[in-house]
Amino acid sequence: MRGTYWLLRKIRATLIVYWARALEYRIVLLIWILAMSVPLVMMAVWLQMAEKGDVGSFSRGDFIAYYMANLLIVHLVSTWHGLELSHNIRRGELNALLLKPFHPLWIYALRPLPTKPLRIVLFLPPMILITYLLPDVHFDLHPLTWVALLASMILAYALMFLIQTSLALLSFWMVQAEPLVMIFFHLHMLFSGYLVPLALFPPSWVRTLMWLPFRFTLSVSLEIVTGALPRSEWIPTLGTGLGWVVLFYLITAFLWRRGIRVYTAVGA
Amino acid sequence: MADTEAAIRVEHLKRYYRVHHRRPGLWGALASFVRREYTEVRAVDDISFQVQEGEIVGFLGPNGAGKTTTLKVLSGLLYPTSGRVSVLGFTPYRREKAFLKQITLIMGQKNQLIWDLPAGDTFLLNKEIYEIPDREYERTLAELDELLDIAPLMTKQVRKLSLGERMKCELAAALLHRPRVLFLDEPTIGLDVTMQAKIREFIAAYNQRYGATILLTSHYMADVTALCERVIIIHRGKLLYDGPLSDLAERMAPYKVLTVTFRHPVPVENLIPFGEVVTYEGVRAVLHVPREETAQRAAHLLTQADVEDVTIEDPPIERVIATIFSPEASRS
Repeated sequence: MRGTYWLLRKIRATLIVYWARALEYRIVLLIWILAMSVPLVMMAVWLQMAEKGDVGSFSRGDFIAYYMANLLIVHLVSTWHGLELSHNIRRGELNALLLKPFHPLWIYALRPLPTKPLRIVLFLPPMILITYLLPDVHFDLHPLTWVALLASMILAYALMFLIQTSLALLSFWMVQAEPLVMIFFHLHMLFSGYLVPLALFPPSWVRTLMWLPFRFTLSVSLEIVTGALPRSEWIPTLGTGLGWVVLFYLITAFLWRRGIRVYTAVGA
Repeated sequence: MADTEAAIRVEHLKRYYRVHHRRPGLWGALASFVRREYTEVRAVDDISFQVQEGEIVGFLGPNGAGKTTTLKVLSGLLYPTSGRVSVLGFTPYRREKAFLKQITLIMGQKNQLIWDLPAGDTFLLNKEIYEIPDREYERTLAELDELLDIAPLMTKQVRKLSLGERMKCELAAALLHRPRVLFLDEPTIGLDVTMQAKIREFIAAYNQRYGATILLTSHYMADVTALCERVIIIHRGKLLYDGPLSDLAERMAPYKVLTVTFRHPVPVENLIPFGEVVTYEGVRAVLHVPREETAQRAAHLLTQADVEDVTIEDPPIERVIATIFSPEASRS
């Protein structure tokens, strides 16, 4: 009980400090957020293609709903800590965190979170406005949908965090695992639904992509909020996502336990 | 779990690294890409020592001797290759929470403070991470402020602090949880003489106030002579000396320093039979005399020359250390 009390206080203090740090550089923060507006570009491309009629199962309204939701949700479920963690292991900068009675991976998991509310403030109003202004744009806004959406986003963030962490922890052996993390980022852009809705891939690809972890890092949330995923499939889909989270949690825990034994703590 | 005898216990500690070598240049890079060459570096090679609770021990050695590696093993950052290490009864590499809450490692060239924020923010974060109750935190902070005068610095961004100011804040951040064991690795490096003295005073005061055990490495002998009654010397991973600082010269320097002032100038040739002439100024000379023959040679000199004054001293500690680490000593 006392352990949980202090854990919550540690989490709160970490969030406050990293919120303060993000605010120190307001302009940079804003540039970072706006730099992630690729879905708007993709929306423009698809709208052009859908001028003469639907593309696959997507109408113009579906594309707008998909990419507007994408714009907000990708901000909320993203983390890029893998590169930093790998770098910190290679340079011995993990040392300072290892000396504290708070698992270092908590810090990496919590650091990206404080700026998430700002992203909601920036992107939610235009999303709501467009929903009301454009008649063809539909979101599923049923209360149950919000619950499923929240669950899918928590799973997505956890999975993004754990996959990157597993790859970054290979730095204990490989010294430089940044390229692996970069490869993951590229695959994620292609197969998570960030650039292209998974439903528009060739059918044979779709069957595979539905089961790969990338889908659960973004696409499932988009499918839920746009109504593309039938309610009857929510539980099995989220269950599969949870399965991936558990698997990568076990991989992360295994790599951490083994890696820390061979850590050379170079530098200081 | 508690160890009543020694705060730090090291038994036959070994820590080896596998180091990758490659020749410089393009061909070296290509050759290394195809076939890697490794050598084993014995950073720490079978050392044993103990430190009692409340002791301040100087841990000395040239660069690459194995000092920092030992401190990293003791603080739990590194797994030992072999041997047994215990700190306050804990096995450091397990990094149990109760262990981490009782130790700190401060490295003069690295910092834990969050660079873009005022130091006060790192203090608040550490308060929660080390589970320090509010009242205890306020009290410790006030005490640290009394010793280090950090209150005016706590609201300034860390990156805008001077090196000395930053070091003070580093010390405060690392000591908020009142650790019982401090590992200090070059805590005064790069600081000006005044700030070095302040940091030394602080370390002594912290040791007295809290009875903390301190293992200190420093290249500044002033740090060691001011703080440590006992020193441990390692070189190339091996322990060379462990004992009182005051006995170091006697045990490790084979000579004493004889300083003689004559009433009239004496030719330097006349002094050579008495020892190695280090400086000669006509009426004043400094000689290195074999330790066991010092009294006999000094007495002989007094009968041979018109001496106004003579002093016999151990060589300065810096000189003794330099002698121990000289290439000649390493070869012998």
